[in-house]
Amino acid sequence: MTNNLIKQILKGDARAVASLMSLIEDGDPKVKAVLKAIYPHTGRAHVIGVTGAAGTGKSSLIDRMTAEYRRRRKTVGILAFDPTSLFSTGAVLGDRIRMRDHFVDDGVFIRSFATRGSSGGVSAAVREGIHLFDAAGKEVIFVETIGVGQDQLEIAALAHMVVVVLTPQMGDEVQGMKAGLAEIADILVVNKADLSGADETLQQLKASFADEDFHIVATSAIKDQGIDSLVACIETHWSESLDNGKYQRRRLSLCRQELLSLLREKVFAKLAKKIGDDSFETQVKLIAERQKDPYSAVDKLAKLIGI
Amino acid sequence: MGGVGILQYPNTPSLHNPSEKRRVIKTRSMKTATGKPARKLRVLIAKVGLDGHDRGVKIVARGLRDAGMEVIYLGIHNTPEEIASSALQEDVDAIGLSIHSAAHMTLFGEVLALLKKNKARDIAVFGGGIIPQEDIRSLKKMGIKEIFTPGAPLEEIVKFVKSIKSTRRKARTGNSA
Repeated sequence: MTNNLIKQILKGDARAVASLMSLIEDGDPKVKAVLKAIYPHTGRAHVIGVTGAAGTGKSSLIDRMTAEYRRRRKTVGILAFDPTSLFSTGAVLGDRIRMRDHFVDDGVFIRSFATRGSSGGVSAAVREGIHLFDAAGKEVIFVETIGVGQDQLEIAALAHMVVVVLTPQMGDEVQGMKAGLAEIADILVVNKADLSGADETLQQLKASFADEDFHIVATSAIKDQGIDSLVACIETHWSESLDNGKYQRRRLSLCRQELLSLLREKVFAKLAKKIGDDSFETQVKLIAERQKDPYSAVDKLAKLIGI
Repeated sequence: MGGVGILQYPNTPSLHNPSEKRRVIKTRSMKTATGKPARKLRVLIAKVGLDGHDRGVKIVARGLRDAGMEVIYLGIHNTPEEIASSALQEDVDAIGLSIHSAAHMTLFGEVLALLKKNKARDIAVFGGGIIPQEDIRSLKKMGIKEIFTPGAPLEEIVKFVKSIKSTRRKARTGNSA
């Protein structure tokens, strides 16, 4: 990779960023060299994960928050995920459509991603995408997961803080969520607060989580209500985290998880290559025909590489 | 004539009679699970200008998805600027524009001009809608790769998009060592 490309990325050139983003999402090995070169220029952005069930208004909320951040003269990068079809491996990526106000704003870069078979509501490429936006000078980075249920919590291992989006009438599920989604929230948003039942939901949440360490905010993205309070809340939380050491702990944990994931990937790729696809598929067939159990099969494969 | 747009093709087999084959979950082999780059066609699909007839364009979007592509769906009422800028950020291989408002000569031309201005003419642009034959010739001269008119089977659109040589990957790795 040339220095030219790296220079363009650091200048925030849209075409350069876009094309490297494609290499990242394709898992192209060439990308690592560029990432090494730009990594020293990362670590400045504020990474905000936005997650919640499908249809709660995550994209619309990011759209409105982006408008608010633009009023505050911050540049914004958005990584928006939608699910890949298990059947066709295709995807319809429809988050961008909610963010039309920012299409022709140079200060906002929106990139739609398909999950491409990864679990956790984001794809394997997400960390690298974050670094790229960071190096390209985006000050606020939103990562929008696909609509998630209760335990797709990968986002907590990627972002500096997590905004969990709920809607009115989800009150009954709140208790059940306690050990899952809500647990990773730094800020809990009740969106669509213009709908009936919003007050009750808000009350229930406040009662359920009275002793917890996060904020609860009511918004209506479609009516553009409560967005300034939400962004104010995010900013307060951010500066508090920087002051009280929470950010530093979070950063250490994010780096740990990133390194672990890279190591796992590298070691696995290396060992898998030694085992070879053929021996792997042979074992798969034996298991499918019930001639072998998967536990003996894995022992057998491990033996091939001396483990 | 709002009812019978090209892209409003109700009995597309791959959508309405899903074959058994399509219902097989595709799992990754060990080889693809371990770092082999997975190239995917990315296509931006949008309606341009003041035209809200979006039933057809949605069918095309789903059809391309079912053919294994990643479709960035932009919906209705997009300006050429919004389309070009989105295509650049999303680094798509192709842009599919749907139009039923008769403004295709102007609006398609503007999209092409904006891509040129941004040195992104390698992104293939194709279109669909109620477009007269003589305009199709002019549009193709202008640089539109293909136009699909009422009745065009989804398979044909899929086949066309698959035939697009992805130049963007060359473009972006072109100056690599």
